[in-house]
Amino acid sequence: MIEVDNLWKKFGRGFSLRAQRHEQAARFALRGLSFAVPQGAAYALIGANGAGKTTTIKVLMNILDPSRGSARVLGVDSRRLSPAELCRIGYVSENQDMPERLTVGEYLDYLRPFYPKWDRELEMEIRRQLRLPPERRLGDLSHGMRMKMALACALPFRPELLILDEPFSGLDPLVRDEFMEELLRQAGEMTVLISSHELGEIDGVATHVAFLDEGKLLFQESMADLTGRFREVRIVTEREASPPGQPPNHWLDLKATGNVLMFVDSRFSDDALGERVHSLMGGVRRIDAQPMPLRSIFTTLARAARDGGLQ
Amino acid sequence: MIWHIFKKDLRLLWWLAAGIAALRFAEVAVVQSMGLFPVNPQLRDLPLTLAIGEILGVGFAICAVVHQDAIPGVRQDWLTRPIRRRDLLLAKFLFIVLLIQGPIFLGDLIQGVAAGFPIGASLAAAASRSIMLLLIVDIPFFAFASLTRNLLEAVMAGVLGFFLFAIFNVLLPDRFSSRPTWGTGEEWIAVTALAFMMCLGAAILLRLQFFRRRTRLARYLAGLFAVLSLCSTVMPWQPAFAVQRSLSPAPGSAAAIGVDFTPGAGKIRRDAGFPILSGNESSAFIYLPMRVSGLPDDSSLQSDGAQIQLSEAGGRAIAARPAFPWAGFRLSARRIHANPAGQDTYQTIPIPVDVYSRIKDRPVRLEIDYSLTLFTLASSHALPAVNGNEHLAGVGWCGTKINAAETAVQVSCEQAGRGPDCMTLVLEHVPTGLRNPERYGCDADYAPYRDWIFIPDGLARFGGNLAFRDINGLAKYPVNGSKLGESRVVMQIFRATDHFTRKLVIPEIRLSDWQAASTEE
Repeated sequence: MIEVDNLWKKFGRGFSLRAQRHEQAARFALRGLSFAVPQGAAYALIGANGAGKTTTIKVLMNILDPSRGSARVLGVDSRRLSPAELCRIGYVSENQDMPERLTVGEYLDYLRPFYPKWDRELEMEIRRQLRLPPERRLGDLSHGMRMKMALACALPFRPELLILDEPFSGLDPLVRDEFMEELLRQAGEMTVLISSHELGEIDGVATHVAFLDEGKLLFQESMADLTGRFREVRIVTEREASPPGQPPNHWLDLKATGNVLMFVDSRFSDDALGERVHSLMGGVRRIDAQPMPLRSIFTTLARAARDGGLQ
Repeated sequence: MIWHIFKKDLRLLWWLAAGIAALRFAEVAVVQSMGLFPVNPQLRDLPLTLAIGEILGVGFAICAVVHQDAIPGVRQDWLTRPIRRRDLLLAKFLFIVLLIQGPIFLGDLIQGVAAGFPIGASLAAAASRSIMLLLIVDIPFFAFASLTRNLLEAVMAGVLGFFLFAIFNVLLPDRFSSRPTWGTGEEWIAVTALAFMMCLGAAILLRLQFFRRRTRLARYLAGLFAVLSLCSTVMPWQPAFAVQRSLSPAPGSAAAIGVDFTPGAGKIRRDAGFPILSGNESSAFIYLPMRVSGLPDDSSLQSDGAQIQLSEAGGRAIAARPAFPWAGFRLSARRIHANPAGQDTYQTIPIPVDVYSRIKDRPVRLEIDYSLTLFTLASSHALPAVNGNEHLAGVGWCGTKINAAETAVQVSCEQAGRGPDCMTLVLEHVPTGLRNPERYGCDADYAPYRDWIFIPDGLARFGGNLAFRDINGLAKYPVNGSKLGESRVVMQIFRATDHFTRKLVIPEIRLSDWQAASTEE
């Protein structure tokens, strides 16, 4: 559905004749990004602010040109996306400028003829569910209402691919729930690409996840694999606990308190963990490995990425 | 989807189109209420003010409609919609043509018809002005708006452009002599080059922006085309006149015409009937007696420009400079049937004061390369000297009126399209055939298409004042106030038939000998 291959995006220009200075003058938002979104997946692009999520999505939507590399969306090079493909893509973004002086009803009336598969009944239903007042001007809508409006404009034509760029940013919990309910109700068979800086927001939605940091992809995998391989490990020792001299690089966030050593195992395996712990440490009394909530996985990864400890 | 996008823009911006229409129709109403002789001095300038407001309104409206679906930027919703770029471009263009230019066209048409011109002529004048506005104002504004995201950006870019234009003007060595065609009948050539450059640039920018969204490249190119457009206005005289020559309506009809220096005619005399230029801070004027031979009957001749060269007797150059009517250089001669005396004339030559003071008493060699135009009589007309109000075939709607001081008959004409190239006006007493001194003037425009001047409207206006009483009592006119009731204004219209060059060489001349003399000398 989406294939991204060695994507680079540079903002700004360097006028220096020296290549090194040139590189410094420019800011790379994406650095060789590659990933693939399978059909039917709910694929989450995760990363801190400035990681390159929005830039990636804008390249996919042909709003920005890549500096190098390529992306294919619905089998077409993103630079050649035509109305034929855009008819099949729904897009919702926190930074979406709609014509402010049109009302909700007028804008939906305007968009309808562009989409051959626009379902008028579905539109009415979504509008009702999201409680969008048809006579209200878009410029007078609150941020939450505007996001709901963007969703209402993205779903009635039953897109094959729905791209959501930070859709929950700045939404209060009530609006977020309404938004999510509607999204899940309509999702059906469609492929969803969703970007967020918080894993918690896509908990229960995403089937796949990719983690971006400073324009680079640190990993991508299915949500089942991700949750399966992360464990918060707690080791109780007989004496004062201290981290092993050469801990494996997939042990993240090591902390020792009294006779307890804690860390996050990012390649958890029931069989291997005990063996590895015993080989590195002596006097181990108990090993306790707990599944982690997504939010904790995200913060651990973000911290490790920042400290350069993520492999 | 062109119509669909157009309707969306109409829903949002109908008030702008209505505003432009209101301005245009207000201007039509003001012009019509004034008639041929505006009496209220406050109202006299109002059409021009409204026309300038209209042009600014057009610019604002074009920016507004393009910014509804702005091209630069990454946040616009339309970028993610299945909207064909071609449809978007054509929808915006349709809006500009129908709702911005349309009311202006309609206003022009109504103005022409209300002024009594035939529907065909009014339609042609309105269409001509609309096409010119479209090429010189609307399409360049369209391209400019596509480079900006919002009105603030557009205004800032406009202010920057204005400063760059001012700097360009400052950098020109001489604002007028750098643009030799300005103020001459050949000005249309520079304007056409400007329009061509602007349209070419606009077409490239619109294609780049709407189909490829290459804003940065488009902005660089916009700067380049702005410079090229400005450079097209500084077109040198020789190529411009060569183009004009090639477009002569009757090439070769001036073949027999010669221009000769006739020193025997003596110095020009300063008298009440002849205006003498005494010079200003930068130029001194000399007046050479000339004879223009070979003029056909009922024709006139006018210099459009010239290259003057002064050199020492030994051949060393002293000064060489172009000279144009707007700088005081004139050669004008006429041959009216049964009055061949009009072929003797004086050539006014402006010479820089410093050069003149240095060489005025020395013998020098003078060479003049003339660029000349021959005009032939196209038609003659007459209308009553007092309260005349007639539509004259080929001239337009003309009227006469005695001025407030009761010293002259005002003649004022309007034409749906181009005015005459040259015209004579004379006050004639019908029973006796007595005539006051004739007025002759040229405001030539040799453009092969209709009038390209689009402010304040599509009508050409021309005329003049014919004196019949000197308030100081010094001049006595054969046709005075008491005869006006039985008098008429005779009008002769001349059209350009041939553009040609002549070279005059005076091997030895002392400039101080040819300053104007007073009648007492």
